[in-house]
Amino acid sequence: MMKQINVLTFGAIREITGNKNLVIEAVDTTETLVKILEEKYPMLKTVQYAIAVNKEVIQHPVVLNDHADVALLPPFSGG
Amino acid sequence: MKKFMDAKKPKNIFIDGPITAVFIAESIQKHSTKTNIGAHSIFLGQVRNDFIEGKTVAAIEYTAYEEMVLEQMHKIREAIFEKYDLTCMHVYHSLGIVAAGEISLFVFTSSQHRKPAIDACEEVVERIKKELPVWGREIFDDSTFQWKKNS
Repeated sequence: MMKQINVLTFGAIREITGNKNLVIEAVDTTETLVKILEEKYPMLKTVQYAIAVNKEVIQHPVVLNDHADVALLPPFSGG
Repeated sequence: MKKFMDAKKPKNIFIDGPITAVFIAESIQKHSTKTNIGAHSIFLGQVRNDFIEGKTVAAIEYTAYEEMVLEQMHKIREAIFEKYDLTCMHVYHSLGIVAAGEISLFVFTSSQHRKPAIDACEEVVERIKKELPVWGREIFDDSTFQWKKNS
């Protein structure tokens, strides 16, 4: 069984991915995942975003477990 | 502190659309039974009609990574209760469309004395702006939009 990673998109990033979340298979780290996503959506390279794995923002690339939720978070603007 | 630790499930903070003056008034009224309180501090965030490149902001549409917001807010709440001597604290944030002039954020802290209530309220507002994954899309009077940037 290949690993499945759920990619959740928000705000301006969600428009780049065509208003949808994604499922990416067979990736082991956030680093590889970002590479795959940037190949698929080159516009991602032009925007600023943080990455959260299972709802925690990461500062460095991490290893991804099967069914991990990886969220691409543009700068927050709540309040 | 212990009495707050048994709050097992993160509290919902979302309100669909604007936060009404009636909701805020009722929230204040509910505290009249807690007679050990001596001070309330309230912050209200209101949608501003910013004028950007010849267009006026008519409304903001809020979206959020809801599960993450609730988890992060739960952590903020625990840290605030650890740091300040509060009686209670309530936070509400709008989702969906909020028109200019309407309220989108309501932070309400209560304490025996004013200092902890005021300081906690300010810190919570700052942390909400910085740490909660919420996004505002500014909708202009000509129906175009742009993603909001917090100052």
